[in-house]
Amino acid sequence: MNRSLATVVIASICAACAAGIGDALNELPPVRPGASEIQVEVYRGVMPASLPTPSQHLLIDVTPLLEPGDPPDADADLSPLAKRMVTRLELAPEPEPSKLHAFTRTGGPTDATTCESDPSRESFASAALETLATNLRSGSTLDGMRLTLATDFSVECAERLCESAARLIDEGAWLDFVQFGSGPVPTCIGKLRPTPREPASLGAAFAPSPPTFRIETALPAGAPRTLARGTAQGPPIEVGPGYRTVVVELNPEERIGPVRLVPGQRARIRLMDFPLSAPDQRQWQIEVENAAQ
Amino acid sequence: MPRSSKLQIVCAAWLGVVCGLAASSEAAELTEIFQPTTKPNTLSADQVVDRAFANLFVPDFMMSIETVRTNPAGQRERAVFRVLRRVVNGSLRILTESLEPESIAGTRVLQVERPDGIEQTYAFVRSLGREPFETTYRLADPFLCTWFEQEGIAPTEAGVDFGGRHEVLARRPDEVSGERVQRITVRPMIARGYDRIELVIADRDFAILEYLHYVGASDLEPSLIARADRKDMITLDGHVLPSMIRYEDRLSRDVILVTIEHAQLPPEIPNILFEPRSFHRARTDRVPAADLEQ
Repeated sequence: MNRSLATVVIASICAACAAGIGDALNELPPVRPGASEIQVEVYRGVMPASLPTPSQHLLIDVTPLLEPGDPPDADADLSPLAKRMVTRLELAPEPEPSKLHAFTRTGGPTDATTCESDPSRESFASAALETLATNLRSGSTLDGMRLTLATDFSVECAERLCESAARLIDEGAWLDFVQFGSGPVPTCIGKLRPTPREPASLGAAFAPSPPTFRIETALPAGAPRTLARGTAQGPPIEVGPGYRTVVVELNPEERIGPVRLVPGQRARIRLMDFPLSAPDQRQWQIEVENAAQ
Repeated sequence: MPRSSKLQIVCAAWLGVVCGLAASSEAAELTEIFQPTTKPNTLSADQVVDRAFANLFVPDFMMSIETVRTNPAGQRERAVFRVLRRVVNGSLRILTESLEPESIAGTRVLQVERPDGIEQTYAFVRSLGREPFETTYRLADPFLCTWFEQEGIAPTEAGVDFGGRHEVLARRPDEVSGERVQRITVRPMIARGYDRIELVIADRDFAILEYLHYVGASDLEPSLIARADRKDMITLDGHVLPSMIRYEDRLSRDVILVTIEHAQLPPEIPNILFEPRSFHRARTDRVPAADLEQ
């Protein structure tokens, strides 16, 4: 599974959830006089930002920097041109040298197979992509690897490029495409999809039913007593003032508090969980607002 | 051949639709994908705080403390005091005595926390009639463990004795100098002139490495930051204790360096040094046991 993909997916989910909850909060009626309320929101993320980012490689077409009619030798070092292209395209940050790869759309035919949609087109980019993938496979798996291809698609055989791209995606790679030039983007690129098993399971993991929670008495001694129950992402739950502990029924449970509620107060609890990648990074905070303020 | 640097980024447009795909796969795949190397925290934030103070609390215990306060003008002020702690007849006794500067040497405060929840504080000032002075030590400080046990001894407004408890307002895992920590924000149950404190507690041994002190409820920045480096920690009877603390007072812009020597309380120090009737009769650094026993 591509981790960057997962991050994007969950960011979308969380953004949607946050927007919905924010709207709901704005519409909350005041706390009933003499009572207190607790509201719980639980968010789930794929990973904390502190985890390492996936390995990223940039495959860049340096043809625009070549003098017309002066193709480089087959064994020429293209890395200086690649760096110039990175600067010209404002691709920042520049990859480390071992992750910067270059190719040109010069030389002889890259493949004996003709391009069915347009026989005049070539397959330089797809050939370069395949070569890079072969080299990378020799060192590790493509699963989770991020590849960016920058080229002019207007002279590229679209179906060949998409076939190559689809094979890499099947292996779990993340592909970004950067088009320079004014040509159209091949339609088939926009139709590429990651294999369904991964996002489907992600969806199942990150869009489950919101967890339930219970509100307990927070006494220094003796067994806590449950005062009320609620569901995360749901409306505030009314509870009497006093010292309270909120137990969010995740696995394992998260005990939040104790917190002291006075009449008229509403406590909003926001919990962030990373159940798959970093279960020990769960974090939360309590925001207390006083209706009288 | 176009040479334009115009960029057209075809960002993976397909990514947005994955949420809508059928959820037909087993979640078990995800463990293969992510392979988490950590386990969920099994201790609640409240329990972590309790463990942190339990680590600091050594019952029969003595701290010799030197503080050097440096103000923005570079002026330095040195003070030395000593904190002795002993449990006598089931009640915790904390005796704090100034040793330097000489002008206030011998000034003592005895706190008695009785099992019935009553707290008594006695003060002894060697020479009355002198000019008022401000003590430079912090009687209530998380690092010195003179904060925790003093909290909430008095019954709360709900009539419940929370005995040193606190509200826990936030928890956030973090890393300090490569060490895994929990940042836990607590607020004493009883108002103490400040709003809340963020404790930075090491995962591995519950040592408090740092705390940030917020005076006002709406303050977003701390007014006081105290840090104890891991290299300055010592181990005493299984407790991991700071031997040096650096305080940064952001209100006065003073910097306070505190050096602490920890020791078990010598058994030859008699209990009557912790009694209200006799605690003032001798300085703790010159214990004339024979005199005290009279």
